[in-house]
Amino acid sequence: MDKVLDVKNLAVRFETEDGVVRAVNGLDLELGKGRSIGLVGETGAGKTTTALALLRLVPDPPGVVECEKLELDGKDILTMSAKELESVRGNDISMIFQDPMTALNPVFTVGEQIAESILLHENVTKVESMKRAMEMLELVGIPAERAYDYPHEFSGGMKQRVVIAIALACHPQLLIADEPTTALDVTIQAQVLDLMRRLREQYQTSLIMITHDLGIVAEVCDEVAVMYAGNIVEKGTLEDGFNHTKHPYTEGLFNSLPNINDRKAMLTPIKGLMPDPTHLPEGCPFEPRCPYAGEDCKQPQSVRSFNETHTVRCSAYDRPGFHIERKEID
Amino acid sequence: MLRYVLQRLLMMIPVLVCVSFVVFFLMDLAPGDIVLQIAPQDATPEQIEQIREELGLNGTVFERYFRYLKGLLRGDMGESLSQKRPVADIFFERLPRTIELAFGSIIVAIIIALPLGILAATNHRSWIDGVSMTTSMIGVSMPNFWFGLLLIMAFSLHWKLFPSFGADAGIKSLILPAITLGTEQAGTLTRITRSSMLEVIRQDYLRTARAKGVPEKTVIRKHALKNALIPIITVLGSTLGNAFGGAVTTEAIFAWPGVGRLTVKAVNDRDYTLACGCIIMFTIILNLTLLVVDIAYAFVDPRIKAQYSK
Repeated sequence: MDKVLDVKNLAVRFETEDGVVRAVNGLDLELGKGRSIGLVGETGAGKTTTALALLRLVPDPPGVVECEKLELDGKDILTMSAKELESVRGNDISMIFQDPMTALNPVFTVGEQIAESILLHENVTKVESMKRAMEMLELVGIPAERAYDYPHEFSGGMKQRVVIAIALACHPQLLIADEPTTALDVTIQAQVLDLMRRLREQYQTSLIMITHDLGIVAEVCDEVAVMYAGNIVEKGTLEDGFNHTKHPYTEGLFNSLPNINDRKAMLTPIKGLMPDPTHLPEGCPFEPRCPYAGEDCKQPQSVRSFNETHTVRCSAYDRPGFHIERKEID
Repeated sequence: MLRYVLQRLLMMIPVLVCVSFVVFFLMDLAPGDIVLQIAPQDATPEQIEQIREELGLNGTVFERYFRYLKGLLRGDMGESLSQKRPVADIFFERLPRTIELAFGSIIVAIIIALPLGILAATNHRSWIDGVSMTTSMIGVSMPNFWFGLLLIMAFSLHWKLFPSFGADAGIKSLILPAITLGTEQAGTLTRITRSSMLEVIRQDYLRTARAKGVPEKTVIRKHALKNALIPIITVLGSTLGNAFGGAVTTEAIFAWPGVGRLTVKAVNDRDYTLACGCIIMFTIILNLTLLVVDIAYAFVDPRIKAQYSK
């Protein structure tokens, strides 16, 4: 399998006046060409920071990124100069940001903002780049003549389409979508997801979908990675993650979903809060909230594989006969 | 847009009436009497009264004000009491010099302040930030007359590069006054550039630009600066407006024949019509400058443009 992305032992910390915030702690991630992975987890799990680290866009200072390996399509991003990075960003790898309301520059027309990316990465004239920008707008379902309008003249859903058009303008190999639908209402969400799927098929783009919505993952992604306190606790294909759930945290996420068949049922939340990233426990970070926690969970955790694709970071499986309550579905 | 401009121009009329009222009465309250200065030492009270009537200074202050206002609304600012020439002629004779100095100083201020402010913001809390903030502080707090004299000592007396007074040597004579005044203006402008850039630098759309692969320099100069311009233009506009009102100290040190010194002299001479006329002209010029600033906003920010056309 051709790998588009290969990340080993990624760590990001922010050295602030109030202490060191450990946002990402030793994360491994691989992604095949044309594949899509959903990065799931609650707010503060380090999803966005991971994405920014892949683009080398973590603000420095206070951010410090350390990594054993960070390769995009065989190219080492870690050792690149600023100039090389500029030619990679927006061209090989691009990102859709969370909030379309603030992601566009208010003083330039949307056409200019899409064209800028094309102008930077491809050998075209200004006029051609504007023409391409208008084609991109058509592609995301906005009339081409609106290229000359400013962001404040668009609705939220349309702005998000513009952001998508910017990200896809140079047909990147890897697209990172950071909660692209969170700021949108449900009908627009469906449209945007549908649009992303069509464009991805058209250009064979690999995708990292950051979300806290398991439904979106099931709809859009081939693989799923569940993040907790700056690390991936469970990773596998959709089948692995959804039907053969292994990690207690993933189980907790599924249990906290509302049940459409029993509308009177109370939600079962995961009790407690994520640990303070300035004072992470030595052992499993989920241990304080985990219903299966034991003494062995206070040790540093190792990754165990259940099959070729399915990995879980939980040492409780060292106990003989350990299993979580959630039933496996075949 | 045109409607907005007309509206603003009409709004100037009440402003002018108020300003003329305040200035006229303040001048009346000031001690001293130009009639006594003009009249010969041994003039009889009858003669003095006659001079007063010739100058149009007879009657109560209200009578005089309404006479003045009537002329003013017809565009007639009267005749200078000390120079016996129309106020408008005297003022417009000296205005070009003031405009020269105002633009010269503002250019100096922009050249100093924009790079310094941007550097300070992009290197927030570093030593560069500290140096540029200290520099701007020095610029603001250094007395104008002192700095001007230093410049004269260095560049006129020692190196003999620029003339020390007057405005007869063209651009050469403009340089020292422009630097003197511009340094002072640069202080405030640097601070406002820095704080406005700091605000913008945190915005999400700069991250979008970086993620597109836009080089950092372009991110700052194009994407950030254009968004930071509104407060900068505001300060620039009012600074320019004030400079049009004449920089009295700077004009005095360099014997610059601008309107600032003209006004001060008119007040000292109790030349009521000239002083009132000058101040009213300042009001008009300041208002027009601010109007130009407000129109400039529309070209910087499309959201404001949309509001104007409503």
